[in-house]
Amino acid sequence: MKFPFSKNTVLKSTYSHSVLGLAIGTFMYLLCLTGTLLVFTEYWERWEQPHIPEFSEYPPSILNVALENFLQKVDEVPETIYLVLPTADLPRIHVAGDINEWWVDQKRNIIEQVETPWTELVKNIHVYLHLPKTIGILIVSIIGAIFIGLIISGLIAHPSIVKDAFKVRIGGNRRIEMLDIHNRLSVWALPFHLMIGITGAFFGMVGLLVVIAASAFYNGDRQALFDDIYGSDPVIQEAPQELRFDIAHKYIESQYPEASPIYIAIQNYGTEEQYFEFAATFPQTLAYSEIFRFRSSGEFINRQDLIGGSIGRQALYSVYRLHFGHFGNLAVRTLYIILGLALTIISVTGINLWLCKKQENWLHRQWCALVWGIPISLGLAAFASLLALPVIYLFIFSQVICSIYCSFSPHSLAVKKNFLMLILTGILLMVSLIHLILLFSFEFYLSGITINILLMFITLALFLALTYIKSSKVALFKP
Amino acid sequence: MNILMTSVASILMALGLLFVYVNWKKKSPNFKLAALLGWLMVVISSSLFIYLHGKEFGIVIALGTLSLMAWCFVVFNIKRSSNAKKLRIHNSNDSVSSKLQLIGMFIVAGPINIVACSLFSMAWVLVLPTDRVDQMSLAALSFPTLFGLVCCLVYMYQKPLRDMIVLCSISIISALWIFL
Repeated sequence: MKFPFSKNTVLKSTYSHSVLGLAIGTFMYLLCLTGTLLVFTEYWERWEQPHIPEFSEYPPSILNVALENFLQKVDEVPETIYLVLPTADLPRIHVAGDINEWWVDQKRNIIEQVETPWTELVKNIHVYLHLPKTIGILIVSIIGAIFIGLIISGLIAHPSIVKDAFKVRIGGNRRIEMLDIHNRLSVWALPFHLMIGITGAFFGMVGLLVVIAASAFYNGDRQALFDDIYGSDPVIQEAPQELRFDIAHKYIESQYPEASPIYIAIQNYGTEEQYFEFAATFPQTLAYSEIFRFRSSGEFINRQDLIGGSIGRQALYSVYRLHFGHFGNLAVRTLYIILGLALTIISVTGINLWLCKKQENWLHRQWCALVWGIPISLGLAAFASLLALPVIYLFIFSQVICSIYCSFSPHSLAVKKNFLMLILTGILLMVSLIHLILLFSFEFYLSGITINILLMFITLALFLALTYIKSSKVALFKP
Repeated sequence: MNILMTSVASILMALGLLFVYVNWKKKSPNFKLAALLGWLMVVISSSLFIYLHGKEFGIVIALGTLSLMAWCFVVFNIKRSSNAKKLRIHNSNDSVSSKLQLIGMFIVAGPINIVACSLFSMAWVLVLPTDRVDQMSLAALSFPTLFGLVCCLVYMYQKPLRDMIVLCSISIISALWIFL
């Protein structure tokens, strides 16, 4: 099969791929690593607060009492109050509104605030790069869009895509080694990467389109545009009364037996416009959920038609689940973890390829500090979260220490890398062991076991990698 | 039943890739049929995944499984070499003009590109005979794709002035199309 692009085009595309890759490579690494971790968001949340009771069966009356208890805890009634119901991934109930979020136990008591600082830190880095939200999400989205450009340029710059389809050469020329790993991982997972790029770029960039569309077709009224896309809110005028979640629940059960309710949103609580929404997922549909609206009495008003409505509405509502792999069972999440990890390696090998051609300088040292420092900092931040220490400060502090170590240590780069790997192995082992101790000191809820297994697995992989490096006579701890 | 079908789909996928791998390894025209058969098995396996998990999830799962299994064959094919060759080191001394060109390309590929692509994505969907919701969702998904493509082209052809003129023209025409 003849490659459709000329040699000149291939060269130009290689240049474009290098420039774009260098421009966003560091951010890509950060986003891919945090994104991979976020595939298990609910599991991390359970891991951070392992003592919260877990249950999947509950009487609907629990919700009214939980709501009343929540309202006693807050100073001001939020416009929307969320009662998040137990799911297979997060078998806990929590009530949320504005900045307040509380866990609920089987006895309907509000027991503790939701406090998952580590998960929040990872989310904040992945979605906003820890910048102010508006600018952060836009920058992350632009990185996602440039990533699409990288996929296109990478494809054009790879004339031997079929010839080298399964080829990996290890142990010889380091550049060839990096190139082969980079190309094999990226080519075979290309559709997945494209999907991640498009869905990732969507979240922030869609804001610009909203501005254009609202001013062009809705006289600048953005709410009118959202109403058109996602469906408008019902207009209710009646005296506020007790919310009958039980009737609404029975209605969904009888009319849509395949639906699994995930949360209830109570709108305008205590006012004449009060009503509530039941969000439920449906099997084999990618759209995040369907929303059923009910009057306070439990009388059905309408459904938002997010599932089974127009294809456009379904597509827009499916972006989140598709991007984060929040569908299917644990196997699907594991698939996303592996593919996400591969994308992280692609980001690292891409920059390594460029660095291979350069005389060793501060860039090599800082790149090493970043690649190994970020996981170390995240590991230490997780440790801080377990001991209720300030997570963000420890994250930044440990990253700075890694950077200083790589800059000023007299050891060779390989030794520095191996040392940081060893530190990471130790931190992960320490974090998972401390968590296990904490877990057994509370009532045993199996929370966090999945994460501890994952951490132990990564520790083992790092340990094996270090053993391999040692056996292949790479100088460890030698200047 | 589902586990059985998933296993069948996974085995079919692995077998299909094995045929593709054998064809790639042998590089002989006699194995062309094996490759064809291999890809056919991959397609059948993907259809099974779609049947099992619905078309949206099915496609994602099939593509993910394909990647994982292909990487298994890549690992199987790793070639180890002990004689490490010394790398050629390049010392680049970028001139002032090339730096200026890079800055120019950044402005074109960044702010100018974002305006042009957002307006163009909004404009082209208006010609489609669908409702506003479908048009908006198509625009939302095509905007980042177009942006990425133009970024790639700007740095490929390295003609920032020409690209700026083209993108500004596209912006003006698209804006006229949308707002008038």
